[in-house]
Amino acid sequence: MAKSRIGGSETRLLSAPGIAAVCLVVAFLFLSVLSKEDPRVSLVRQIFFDAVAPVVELAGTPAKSLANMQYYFQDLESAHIRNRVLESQNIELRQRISELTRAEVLMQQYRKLLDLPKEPDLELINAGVIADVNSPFVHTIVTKGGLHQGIKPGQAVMGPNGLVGRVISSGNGSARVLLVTDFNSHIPVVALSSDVQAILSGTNRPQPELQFLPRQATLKIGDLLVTSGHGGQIPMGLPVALVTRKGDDENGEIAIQLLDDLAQLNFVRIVKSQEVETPPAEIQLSPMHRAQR
Amino acid sequence: MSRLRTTTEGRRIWFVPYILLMLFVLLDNVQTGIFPASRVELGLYFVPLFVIGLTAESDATPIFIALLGLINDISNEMPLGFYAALFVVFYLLCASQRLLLANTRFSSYWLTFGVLVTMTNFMAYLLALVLDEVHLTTLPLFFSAIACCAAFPFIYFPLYLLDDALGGSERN
Repeated sequence: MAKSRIGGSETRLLSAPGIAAVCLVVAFLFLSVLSKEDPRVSLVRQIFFDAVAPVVELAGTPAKSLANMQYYFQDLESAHIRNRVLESQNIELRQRISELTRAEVLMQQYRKLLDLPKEPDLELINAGVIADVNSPFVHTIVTKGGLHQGIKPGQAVMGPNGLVGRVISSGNGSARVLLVTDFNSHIPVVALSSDVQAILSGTNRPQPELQFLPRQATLKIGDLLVTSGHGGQIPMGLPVALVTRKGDDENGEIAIQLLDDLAQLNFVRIVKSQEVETPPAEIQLSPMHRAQR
Repeated sequence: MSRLRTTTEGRRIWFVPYILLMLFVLLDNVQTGIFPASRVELGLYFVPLFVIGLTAESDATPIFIALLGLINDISNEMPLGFYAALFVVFYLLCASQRLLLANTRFSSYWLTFGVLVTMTNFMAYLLALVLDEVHLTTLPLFFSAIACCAAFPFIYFPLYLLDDALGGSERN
């Protein structure tokens, strides 16, 4: 390596530290030229994950089995208490069924009166989580299944209880999902009871935060945040998080509590969203026409 | 202390830390579902990298390390070049300690490793500050450094024992 033959004897052009310095320069060149969001880089990542997905899945099996055993024993320990909680929840939910049936009938009547089109039913694709790219820098996961299963970039990804992220790229056998806690994640949401709209932005910490809240807006503690559907990619009405307070202080700062523990995701459901057609390109008017308008 | 070079029969086992490094890079993102493993980036690849830095003599080593750094960038959703630069810097830092660590105790190795990992994590922090695309939180980075130092003996000792079992000769 880095040697040349001059007059029959080998002369080293560069030593190991010299080559390391060259590698360092190349690395910094990559950093300055190639963006993380560059489509070519994204494609390389997707090809990489497609290639290593079976190996990573296989390697994760023993750890997952251990984790499942841990949950099994935890469940056994708290089975009695959880049974009581579930029984009381069951009673509450039975009471809510009648309320919901009434609300559904009313909704149908309102839709008829207003002549609103019927909202399409959500089509969900179940997928297992095979890789967990959680580091101090990024929060993403890799799921099994790709384009063949109908998983496409931009689709919303649900955990057991609520929205956990969106698909950023999809390949033949795997798909990359940007979690809502990632710094680059921005989801338009609306608070259900107070009807306040905002953007739920990731912070690379376990909980995201609300941005672009209207100045006069007051959020209620316990309010459910759902997707507002703005932008057209993520359907409206998907539950995302609860409004809570930081710590136990009643007057404490408002915090956002996600409905799922993103560190414990084993399976996700990908929402097959309806394709949103791009509106036709606006006809460019001449300056004179613009002035007339 | 640091052997991992040659056996008495002359058969080199230098490839063991390289294979470990490759495994740690490739399997870094295996989904475990075990808390806190799923929230802390362990950075175990620094241990074989430390061994390589102290023992490797091939001129091609930095290229191999930079390539593995690029693979780590791809698998960790980082901008290309981030881990490649960190890996090469860490390798250079380790290589600079060769003379200092010759025939020293294990505690010296552990301490040096701790200092170098902390320095590399600090460099990662500085690099993240410069790059707009990377946003990092300091506390997990701090825990990552501690977790990596804590894991050092569990990876370094098997490597050392393996070398010993194969009759490794003491480094000059």
